[in-house]
Amino acid sequence: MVQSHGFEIKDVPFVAIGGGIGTFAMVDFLRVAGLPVESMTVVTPALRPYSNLESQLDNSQIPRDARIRSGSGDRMDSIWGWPGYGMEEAFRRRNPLMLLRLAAEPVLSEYYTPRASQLYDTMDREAARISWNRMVVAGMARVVRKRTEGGYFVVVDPLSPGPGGSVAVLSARYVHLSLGVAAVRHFPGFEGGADPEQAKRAVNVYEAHEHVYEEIRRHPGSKVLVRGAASSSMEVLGRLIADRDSYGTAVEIFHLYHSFFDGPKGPARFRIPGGNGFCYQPFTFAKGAFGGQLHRRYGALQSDAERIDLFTKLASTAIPKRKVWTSRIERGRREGWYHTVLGAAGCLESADGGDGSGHVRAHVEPLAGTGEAERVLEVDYVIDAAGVDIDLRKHSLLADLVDCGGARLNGLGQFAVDASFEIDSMHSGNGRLFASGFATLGNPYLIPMYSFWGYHYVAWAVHRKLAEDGFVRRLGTGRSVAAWWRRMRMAEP
Amino acid sequence: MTFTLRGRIETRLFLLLTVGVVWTAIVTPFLPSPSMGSGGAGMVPMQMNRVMVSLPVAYNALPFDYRMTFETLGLMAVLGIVWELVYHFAQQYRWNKDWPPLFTLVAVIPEGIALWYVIHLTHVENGSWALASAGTAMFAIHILSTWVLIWVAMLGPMKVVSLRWRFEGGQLW
Repeated sequence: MVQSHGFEIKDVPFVAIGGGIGTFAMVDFLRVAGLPVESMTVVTPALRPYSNLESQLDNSQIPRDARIRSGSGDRMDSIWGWPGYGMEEAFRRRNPLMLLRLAAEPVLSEYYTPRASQLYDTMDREAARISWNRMVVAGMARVVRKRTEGGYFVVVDPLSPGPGGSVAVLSARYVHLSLGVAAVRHFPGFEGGADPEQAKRAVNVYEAHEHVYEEIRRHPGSKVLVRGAASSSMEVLGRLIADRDSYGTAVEIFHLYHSFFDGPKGPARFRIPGGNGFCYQPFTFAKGAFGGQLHRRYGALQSDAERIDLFTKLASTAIPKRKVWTSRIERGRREGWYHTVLGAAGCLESADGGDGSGHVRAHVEPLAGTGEAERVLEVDYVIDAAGVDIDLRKHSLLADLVDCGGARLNGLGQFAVDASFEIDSMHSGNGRLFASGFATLGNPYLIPMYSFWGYHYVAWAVHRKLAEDGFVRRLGTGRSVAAWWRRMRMAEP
Repeated sequence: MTFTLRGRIETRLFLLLTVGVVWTAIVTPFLPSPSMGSGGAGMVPMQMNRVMVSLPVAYNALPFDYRMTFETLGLMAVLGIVWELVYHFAQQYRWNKDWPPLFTLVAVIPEGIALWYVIHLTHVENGSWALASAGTAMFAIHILSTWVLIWVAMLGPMKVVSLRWRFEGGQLW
């Protein structure tokens, strides 16, 4: 039918849609396993595989030379993760002490974390090695549909339309989806484009909001509400406080979050460390979720409710325990310009800002059981660091898969996948549709879906399924060692 | 990656069987053997220290030092399974349910001391039981060097040897 409408159809065995780090992990893995460039196409509007991540990190106050919250041993440019980022940096800086520090973490030192620039530069190198650019079709994938003969059609809206028209159609046996999040979270009642003045004053940490810091510098004594107690809020506080110290902004900070940790909480065998108001965890997920006993425990759970409960606990809103962060906040408390506000985000209203009152009124609902009344904070700016919106319906392509394609969802409203991360309800003849990242959260196999290690885990699981199908050769010990050595020499896979 | 209990045991056994065996084969002739003073390698009567009496003749024909180091290695593997259970229990009191590499490295101290007594108990080593005696240097150098090599392999090279190891909590099978 598609052909009869006169579209030019290109056959590619494996199409990866997204083009961010989830796609990169997948494509890199398959290239390393021996799949040639011609067998894969990446559909992405992004210039580089880390473009999206870079803008999110930049916006959330982690510029190129700052360190990201990720360990040494899981690197985006290597399916093995060894030698790690830390070892590479130690060699580059000819600093053997760094190796000692790595060996002693996290007992005698805080965890090593790589600089964002190292992440980008090494990904550039690996992208060149696997000829990433030769696989890329610059554009937006609009629709994925089953083909009667098995496999899928992928309709692409190219960034620069070719002679064949404004739409390209790919025909693939396998499709992999890794689209990232479609939207960020805002305070309830946020009007967005309908109230441009409010949109300027109430921003999300992952969106560009440099203007907020500039305005604060221009208007000393501004009041800012920061929402969320994860590490992105710490980076925002860090920036606000650094500007306070360097430019005398005299900014007053209200920090809104759910629960105050004055110490560790929980029973002896499930006690999360905490203090200073925050809950401490070195990475986004508890370490044992990266393949360890928590990963096993999760895999053995029987119901969605149990899984969501454990997931929420292990991916809790926590920050790495860093002296520089805690001492800043202690100083703010002591000097009276940092206030902890416990509660839930109510709604947002614009105000006129006259008579020294704020420009934004943020309603804060009390926590259940405290019996307190609703509070209204009048502030000048709201910086929302309470995370992202994982609703996959915000992606029209994914919504279409659910509404018209018949893709089944799990208890968390994300795609129901099997152990190889195939959306089995979308199975089509000898073709398979795989997914990774946020759109598969709540699956019964893996917790850290949005982590470097998690993206590689999915790639490994997919590669094993493809090997079963006879599509790619399995990376057993011999082939793994040989492929690793080729990568060490930066030779083409 | 983080280990599961099964992964830790499998990894320990695998590395002792590979890195441990190869390293022991290489290093044994260079160890300061106490038997050198009392007649030299291979001169010690066979019945004196055999745990595994039913082993083939070829094994008994190995120089005494080799038999001692390999038997020590074997006991280290067996005891190691018990140790891993202990560590796993202790790990339950850590929120992250992980076991930092430094803990693994320093574990050679209690494990080594316990092993010293066990090799005497099993007559693998027949010298003095005292921690500082003629056989200590040979034992300590052998165990420490093997331990460090295995520890280094666990820090990274294992990921290259087996991708499964990286993704499934250190499990190989």
